[in-house]
Amino acid sequence: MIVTQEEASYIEKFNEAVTHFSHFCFCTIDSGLQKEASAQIYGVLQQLAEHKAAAVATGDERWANFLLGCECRLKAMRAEILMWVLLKEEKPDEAWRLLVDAQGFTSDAMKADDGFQLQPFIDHLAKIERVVFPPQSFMSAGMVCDYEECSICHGDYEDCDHIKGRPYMGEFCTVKLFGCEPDHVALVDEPASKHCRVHTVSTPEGHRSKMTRLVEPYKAEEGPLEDGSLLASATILHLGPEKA
Amino acid sequence: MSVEVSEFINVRRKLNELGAEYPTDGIALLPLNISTADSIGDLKQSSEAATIRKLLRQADIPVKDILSKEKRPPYVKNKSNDWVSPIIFVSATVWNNNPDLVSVALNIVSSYIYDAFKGVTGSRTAKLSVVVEDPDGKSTRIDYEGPSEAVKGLAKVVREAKK
Repeated sequence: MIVTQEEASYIEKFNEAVTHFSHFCFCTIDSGLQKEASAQIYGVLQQLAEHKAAAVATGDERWANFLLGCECRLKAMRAEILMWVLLKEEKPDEAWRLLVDAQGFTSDAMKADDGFQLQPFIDHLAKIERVVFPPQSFMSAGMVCDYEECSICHGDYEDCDHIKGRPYMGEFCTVKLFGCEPDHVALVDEPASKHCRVHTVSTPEGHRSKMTRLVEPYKAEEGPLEDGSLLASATILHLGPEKA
Repeated sequence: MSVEVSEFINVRRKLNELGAEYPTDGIALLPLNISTADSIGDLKQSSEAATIRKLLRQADIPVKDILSKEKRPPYVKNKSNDWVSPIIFVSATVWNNNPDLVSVALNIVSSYIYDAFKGVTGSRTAKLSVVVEDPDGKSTRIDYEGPSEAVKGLAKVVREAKK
């Protein structure tokens, strides 16, 4: 990407910010400092949004998309920092949610602009997933939908020129689904969204968390199924914009 | 990675039975269950059909609709990490006049999948089917399942299968 001097200066400052915030992406860092860093990132994100709006106003799509990548990169860092905070607060389910968010934002940054070469960070988050969290059981829901609406032009996705997953003027094209009927639910090794997973499974004593192994006793009217079937609670559909 | 070559239904006859349009002079994207559907109402298409149709058209590859907008089949959305392409149908006329079109089309699809898989953790599998028609109406189906990078090479398999 050919950049102006002003843009080069901006990129340098952005890289300095990323280096600064990367110091907080560790479990041992004080939670108070991590929360401060998270708040600082929030402030930077607000400034980024203003820069992006200015780029959009002047029709500078290339720069707007680059700033979208910056947003995604910082959101990923913020999610990772807060993931560590939540783990230290013994909230692993919420921490998992932020890990998956961090993975998604990192992937988005790479899609926003080719300048974001973040495979090492993707690998880093994948290692955290494997080492810090126990293996999870993932779900995939199948649906049949009548209509797709484009998030960029709000028209029929079939008829417009936008391609889902690609950035346009600082926003990703996604599709909104209408007229959806559930078709099936399946256990899969590689889900579209790792938010979709089994949370608890039944044991003779109660519901056991897949994350903590703690067993929550059955309530008065509950109990293990008489036929021996396994009872599980799970997220089967994560409602977010549909990208590639 | 797996590639399977098999005989497919007579597409022209099936489209006629269904009351759909036969794409003489262009590539068409067939619904996933074209071979088993008894009526247009039964048809279901890949959720990637609209995207692939647009990508091909943006590259000036002629893509024909087999059904009008009002009869458009619903989209199958499987929320797994696999990427499932619609069936890419190449009529005998198109194959005879411009067999390289398949290669160009697969390059475009491959590039799109590469971008779509960027930064995704875990393994993502691309599933893609190409159906090429013979002048006598018979068709050959090539099913590919594997990494996105190998999709480009599928054009060679298609050419081999059509020898």
